[in-house]
Amino acid sequence: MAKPKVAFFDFASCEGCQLSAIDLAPEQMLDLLNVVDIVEFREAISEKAAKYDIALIEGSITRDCDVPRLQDIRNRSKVLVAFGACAHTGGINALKNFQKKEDYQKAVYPTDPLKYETTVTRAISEVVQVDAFIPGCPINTMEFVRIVKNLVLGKRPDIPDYSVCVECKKNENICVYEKGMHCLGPVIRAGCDAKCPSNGGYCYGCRGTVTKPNLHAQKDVMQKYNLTFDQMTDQFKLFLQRNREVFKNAG
Amino acid sequence: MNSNNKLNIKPKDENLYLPEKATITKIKNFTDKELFFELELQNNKPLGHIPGQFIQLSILGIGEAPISISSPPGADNKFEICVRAVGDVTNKLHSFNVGDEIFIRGPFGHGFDDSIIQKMYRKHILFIAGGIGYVPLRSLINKVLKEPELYEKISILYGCKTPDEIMYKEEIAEVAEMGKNIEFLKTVDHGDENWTGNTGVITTLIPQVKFNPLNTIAIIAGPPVMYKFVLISLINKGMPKSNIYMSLERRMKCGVGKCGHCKMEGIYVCKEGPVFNYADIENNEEVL
Amino acid sequence: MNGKFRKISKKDLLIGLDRIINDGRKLAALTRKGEKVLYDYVTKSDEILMQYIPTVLSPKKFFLPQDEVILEYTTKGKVTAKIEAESMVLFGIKPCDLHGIKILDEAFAESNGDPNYLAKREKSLIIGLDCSRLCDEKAFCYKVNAQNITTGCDFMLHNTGIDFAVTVYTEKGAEQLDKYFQTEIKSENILDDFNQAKAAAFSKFGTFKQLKQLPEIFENNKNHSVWQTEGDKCLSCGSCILVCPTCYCFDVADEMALNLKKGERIRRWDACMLNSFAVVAGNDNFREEPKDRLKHRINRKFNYLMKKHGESVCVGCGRCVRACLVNISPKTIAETITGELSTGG
Ligand SMILES: Cc1cc2nc3c(=O)[nH]c(=O)nc-3n(C[C@H](O)[C@H](O)[C@H](O)COP(=O)(O)OP(=O)(O)OC[C@H]3O[C@@H](n4cnc5c(N)ncnc54)[C@H](O)[C@@H]3O)c2cc1C
Ligand code: SF4
Ligand code: SF4
Ligand code: SF4
Ligand code: SF4
Ligand code: FES
Repeated sequence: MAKPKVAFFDFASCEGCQLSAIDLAPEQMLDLLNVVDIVEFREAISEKAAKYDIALIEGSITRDCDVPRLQDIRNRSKVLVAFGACAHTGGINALKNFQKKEDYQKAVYPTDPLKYETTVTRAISEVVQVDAFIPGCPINTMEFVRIVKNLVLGKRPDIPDYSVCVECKKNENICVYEKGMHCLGPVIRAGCDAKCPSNGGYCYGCRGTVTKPNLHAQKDVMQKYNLTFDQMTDQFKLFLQRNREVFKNAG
Repeated sequence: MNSNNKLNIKPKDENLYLPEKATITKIKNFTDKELFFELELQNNKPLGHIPGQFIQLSILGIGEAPISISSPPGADNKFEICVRAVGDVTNKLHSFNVGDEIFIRGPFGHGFDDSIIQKMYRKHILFIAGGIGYVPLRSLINKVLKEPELYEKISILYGCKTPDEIMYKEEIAEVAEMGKNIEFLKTVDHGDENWTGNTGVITTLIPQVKFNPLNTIAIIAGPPVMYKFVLISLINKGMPKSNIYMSLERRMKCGVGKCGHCKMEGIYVCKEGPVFNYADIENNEEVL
Repeated sequence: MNGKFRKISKKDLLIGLDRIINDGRKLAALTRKGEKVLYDYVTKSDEILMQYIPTVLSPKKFFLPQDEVILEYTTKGKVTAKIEAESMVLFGIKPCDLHGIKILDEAFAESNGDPNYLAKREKSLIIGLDCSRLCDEKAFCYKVNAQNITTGCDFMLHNTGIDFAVTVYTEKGAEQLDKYFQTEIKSENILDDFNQAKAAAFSKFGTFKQLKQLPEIFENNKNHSVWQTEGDKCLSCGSCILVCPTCYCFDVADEMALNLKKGERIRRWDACMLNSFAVVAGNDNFREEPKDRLKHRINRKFNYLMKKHGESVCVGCGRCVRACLVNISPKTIAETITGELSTGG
């Protein structure tokens, strides 16, 4: 059996997720390369390889010219994976959607604002069909490995569909609400091993919401713990701009 | 010392999570989505099942899925299953060939045990199978058909969405020809140009069977939506609830009453079922 | 036991615990790890906290770990059962958690015994530490009489202030007590004072008024409005299940190594409060709404499993109440359904 051809492509992103993907121990890297053929990064960039078995798309869609490029990759890929928060939910790039276009254009190129070609930031799944998601900012390396394994083995590339609280409790953390912080964990998709609450932080939702989040209840919790409505939407803002449900229900 | 402390927490000799090897000895193409497999246990022992029981079928690296045993109990180490490709394990199994190895645990569950079979003797047996529901009933159907004289009459009702989805076509044709006290009625929700038989959902077949509800045992299996409507028509005909048996399906992980996935209220379907007498579960809100 | 009472001094207790460790056995006890207070393995007796502070997780994790490999296999078809059971001593387990362990013992020993749980359990020695008062305002062991035990540990210590009185429950307990600990035999009942103090501390609390009838009452209240009102609040986060000493549902998954040559079958804690728990093929969900799942969870404690085990399967440890951000509590629900709440009981 020929090894599946895997290629990375990036759109608007910091490329941090690509770095996370190869953040493997040397022997794990060798194992990975025994299982899949990673098309040379340069080759992927010049887009020479004709067909891909697995295309990993990093970044969000922020310009009109991104669209045909993404569609072309879609057409040449058997499985297309939205890779990292920017690709999965629009990520931090989508923050600009909260502002007027003129404003952020001016902010970036004060002297020549129109030089900056830009549209509303979109997640990959808003432009083409996506077969699998690897969420997170940045992605979790072991989750990336598992998804690639699943695809190679013909298993569904499932990611957890339960809250970050599950992993947080498994780690026996003190809930950050008891420490005077606020946390989106109850409505956010697990899979990061509750990284932030386990390391002194709180969950700000980089992995997006679970399939059926109870946003009303989440809102009540935040208010009960003295977070004003504005502060609360601000917390949701960072990663969830494209999840309109969040703002509809929170508002 | 306290007498309550008698609970035996000694591990048993057999590990109930350790599967056994079986070889695929035959594969038949039934429909687009369903394949028939004959499996042979490598330990050379018969599976030792009763009709209505299931196995946990494993493919290493992929996972486990509960699958009904569709052949009647036999003396050799072979048995049959029929599998619809819907997910990880079942899709992978469909890519396998004769000679390949899989793993199984079981047989598990409460099937059509002796007390049920005794109750069926000299009665009119009414099988009602929707779609893949034919598979869990086939073991019992074939057992009953081996000695039809033990029963007053045997009626088998089988409904599918389309004619393409009908399984065991040759076998069914033979049963339909057996005559004597055996009748076989088929229906499809939507026919095609070659279909000359009944069309309509399975409940439309029930009025076509003459039965005395008090002397008939109904045995039902099918997709979740089917049960409700079949139960209503049988009960409207005056059939006592205790004359109705059904084989149910739930999400299952362990198959042995531990993992909790198959629970209906307080009942573990994997252990107390999958075969139930309707009178025993009619008040359970999570059945239908 | 024929008028003889055993006691152990604080000093001898610590010496005994250190002996256990020096014997190469694992000792788990209440301890501090950074900001967390939890049951964990200790390397010296002075790491042990004697004063109970409620923990996030119960000691069930030692017998049913969060993630546990149950099979190992190669793609060539060699499959082996994996059971990791080491000789272990669990020290300082509270009455509510001892009730929890008893219930898990019954559930896992039943008919087809669970090999992994039972192996771990068989190799463990459980030393209880009695409570002389309620640990906090979220705990409600008294509602189900779980502050007292009749079984569940090998021997129990009762802190009398200077010393510990000992109650032995099993033969293994008696034997291990003698092996590791210097005890004194007393003819006067040294437990009396402790028991009186405990009874006084708990005297203002009573059980559910209809404790014995709870299964029946819950059975008849499947349509009570409390399910909807509390269910609407529920985040379906699953925290209540994960922290519960008597919840034991699990998921099973196969994981191949990255080289695709070998793999493991792993079981992991699962939670019936999660939306995905009862999803089957075709995306049918047998418990679609949070209220259905809440009803199931609470009925398991006070109805379905209570019938089976003959005692409340909620042991009132209060962990789920502490964990739930929206204040859903089995106690409040039970009180609402029995009518105790509105009559001010
Ligand atoms: C007692 C019993 C007997 C059975 N007998 C047979 C039989 O004889 N033949 C037969 O073909 N089938 C039978 N089944 C059904 C069969 O067990 C299921 O189809 C099985 O789960 C398939 O396993 P899988 O690994 O292929 O699918 P999975 O990969 O587990 O997926 C199965 C389906 O469930 C969905 N699913 C799984 N996990 C989730 C999740 N977390 N969230 C949302 N959706 C999810 C998937 O989308 C998919 O549609 C039986 C079931 C039971 C309980
Ligand atoms: S810290 Fe956040 S993730 Fe952890 S339990 Fe609390 S709310 Fe849930
Ligand atoms: S805890 Fe929340 S914010 Fe932190 S990594 Fe996980 S999903 Fe992202
Ligand atoms: S902890 Fe509370 S909010 Fe979370 S699932 Fe349990 S009852 Fe619902
Ligand atoms: S339901 Fe809550 S209070 Fe009862 S035993 Fe479980 S965690 Fe403790
Ligand atoms: S399948 Fe695990 S308890 Fe029934």
